[in-house]
Amino acid sequence: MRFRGTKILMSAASLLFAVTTMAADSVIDPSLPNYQRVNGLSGKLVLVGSDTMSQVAARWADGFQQYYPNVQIEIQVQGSRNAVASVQTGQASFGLLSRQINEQEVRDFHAARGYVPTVLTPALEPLAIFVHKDNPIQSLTLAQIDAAFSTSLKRGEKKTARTWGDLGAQGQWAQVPVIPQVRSSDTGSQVFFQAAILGNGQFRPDAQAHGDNLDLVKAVATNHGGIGFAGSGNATPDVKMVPLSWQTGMPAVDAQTPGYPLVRPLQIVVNNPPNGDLPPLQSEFLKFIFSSRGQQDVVLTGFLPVPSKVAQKSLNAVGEAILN
Amino acid sequence: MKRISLATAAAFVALAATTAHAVVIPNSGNNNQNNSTIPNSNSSQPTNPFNPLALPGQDFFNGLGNQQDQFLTPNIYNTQPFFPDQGTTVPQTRTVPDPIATPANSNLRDRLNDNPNVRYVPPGQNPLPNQRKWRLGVYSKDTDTGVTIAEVMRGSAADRAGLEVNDRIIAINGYQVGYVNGQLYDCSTEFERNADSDGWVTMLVQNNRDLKLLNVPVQLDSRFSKLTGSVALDNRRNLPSDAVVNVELQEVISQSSQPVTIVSSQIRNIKSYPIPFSLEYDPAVISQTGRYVVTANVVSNGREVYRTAQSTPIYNQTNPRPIALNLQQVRPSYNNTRPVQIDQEAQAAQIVTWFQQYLGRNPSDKELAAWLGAISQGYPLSQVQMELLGNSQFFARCDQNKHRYVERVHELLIGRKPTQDEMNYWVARYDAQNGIRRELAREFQDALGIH
Repeated sequence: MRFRGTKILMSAASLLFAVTTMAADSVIDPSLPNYQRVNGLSGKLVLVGSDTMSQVAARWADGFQQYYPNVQIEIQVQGSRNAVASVQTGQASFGLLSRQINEQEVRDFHAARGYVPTVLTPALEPLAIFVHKDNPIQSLTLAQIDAAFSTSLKRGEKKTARTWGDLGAQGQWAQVPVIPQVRSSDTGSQVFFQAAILGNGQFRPDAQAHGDNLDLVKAVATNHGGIGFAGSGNATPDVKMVPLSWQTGMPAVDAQTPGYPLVRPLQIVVNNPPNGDLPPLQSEFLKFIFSSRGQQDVVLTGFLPVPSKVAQKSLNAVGEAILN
Repeated sequence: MKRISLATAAAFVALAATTAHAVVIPNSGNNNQNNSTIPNSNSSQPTNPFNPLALPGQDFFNGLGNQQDQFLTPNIYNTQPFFPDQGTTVPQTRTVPDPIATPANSNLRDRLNDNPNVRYVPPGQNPLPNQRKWRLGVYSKDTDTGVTIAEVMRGSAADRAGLEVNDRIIAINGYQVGYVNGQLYDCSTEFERNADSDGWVTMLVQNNRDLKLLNVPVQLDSRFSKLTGSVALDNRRNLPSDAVVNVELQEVISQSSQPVTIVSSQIRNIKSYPIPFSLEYDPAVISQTGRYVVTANVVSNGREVYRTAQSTPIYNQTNPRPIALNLQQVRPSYNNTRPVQIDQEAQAAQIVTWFQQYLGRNPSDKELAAWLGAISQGYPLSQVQMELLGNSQFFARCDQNKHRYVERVHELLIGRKPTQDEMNYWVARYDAQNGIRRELAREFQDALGIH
């Protein structure tokens, strides 16, 4: 234990050195607007939706209520399924989605309201590529990931990677087979990964499918040659997250760094009538989550912040002016 | 426009005849795949109003990025890195400078520079790299025919230059702003690129009164204000060498709630007396109607030993006078014997320990920086613990199972496994909190008196 304590202190010291040499707030885009409080705001917001997003939303609610102690915020964790419908019926002020809204939801909303919902992206969830903790691989390109998972090879690799040697590992690891771990075909991550990495190509027929992220990560942890994908929040000490680069020759970035290639948008569904203004409480909340404080909260809950331009465009989409 | 600008306006009448888009093309030739003429998944269904990617708010999917990927459509992944030194080095597209645009000339400056209150970044103040320095002082909306002014801040650069609501900013030093071929060129970025060291830019503006184009030189406002002052102790005793002075600018919300810390500053290695301090902040966070105060305390040996008896209100935002803070000694009592962890190194060590215990890994530099930044804005250290216990990665390590989660939190905070009754109680609380784990962690902390 003594050694462990020393190690902790040493790593703290070396990290601190890194921190003091950079600005503490440079984790988020320095161009993001600073939030300015307004007077006389009260009322209640109801947020309904996914578990993943609710954890971020709870952090926002805390920060927002610091400015407005008279505002009540209720978060109902019901999964992404009810997010759009509850905004459509007026039960929720905002819906929280950790997947893309689908066309049927848009059509239903339109049928009920006469206009389409507004969908904003206030946070990004990095999708990590997990391998066994002892795997020596340092980084992968998107094309290499395609080669590890697919037979279609739409990203232009010459052959499916059957061994870790095909992906650049050396020594005895070069002989270890690549064992892809995937999700069952109807899940959000599987659909997303298939589109984003495989270009809607085919998964290897020998890929092992799992019902949930937890099983997938466990399979990677227990399979020496395993490789799988899941939200970076699913990391355990028995697996390693591989830094990714867009293509050969470009720098690899880890999942905690803005600019990481494989991210899923986390979304907030807004009932924004085309010719009306949002209620002030809703509009202030959106200004808050797209401000530097709101985006700092995104980092603190383990997700990636959005760049200032996304914030600007999102606020433009709900009719908010930007301070320039 | 209240004031009509001079000769150069005529030159832009010709410009007005052409469309705004026509005057601009991306100037980095090898990067023209960013242009929205390149097909992507959006354009395959251009007429479907229900396409999820065509919804309001999703339009940034088009053309925001400078990383083109064949399948990672529609570009959400391709957002431009904030920091040029990280990630990718693909050249940025820029609008082409307008050959007719002229830099602000001194005559125009003389005419407009009639306000002695101009603010610029004072010498000796070093904004961080990438940090924005300049502001026009308008609320505006980006459109594909320029940037429309929705509100002019009183006393701002825009106000001094005579800009009005509904004036339309077309270009800054010849670079078009607003949406160009679906890509946003925002004013703030162009200000940073084009302003000279005193903040001067020349803007091409369409006057809302007669729709004519004007060439308007403007000296932008700084995004930094500085409060300076000194801290004195009522008994004039010497401070121990480990003493840290903490000064905060706070917004007072109400009598019954905690103030919000806007910015804070820590002073170590105190050499002179009274102790000088300075606080830098963005003047835009200070509203005309809000209440703001400066407070300070001194921490030594893990305990608060001095603090301001009364916080000093801040009234004048544009030219604040130096503030003299007088601190009174704090007698040891039950309320303040709890150690205050002000030392950044100790805070970092604690955060690293929690990351290792809860998430089984070290924090990344960015995460640690984000937390230390939050702490300097007044987040208590206990909140780091709460958020990490609420982190989805910790939940994943509990097999995403609420019973296992309650058991782990109980073990980590109380030092033993819960009894069956305790387990039942905490699982009921978990459900009552709607599965918002940070709120459950907060209840654990409250039960243990961790604040």
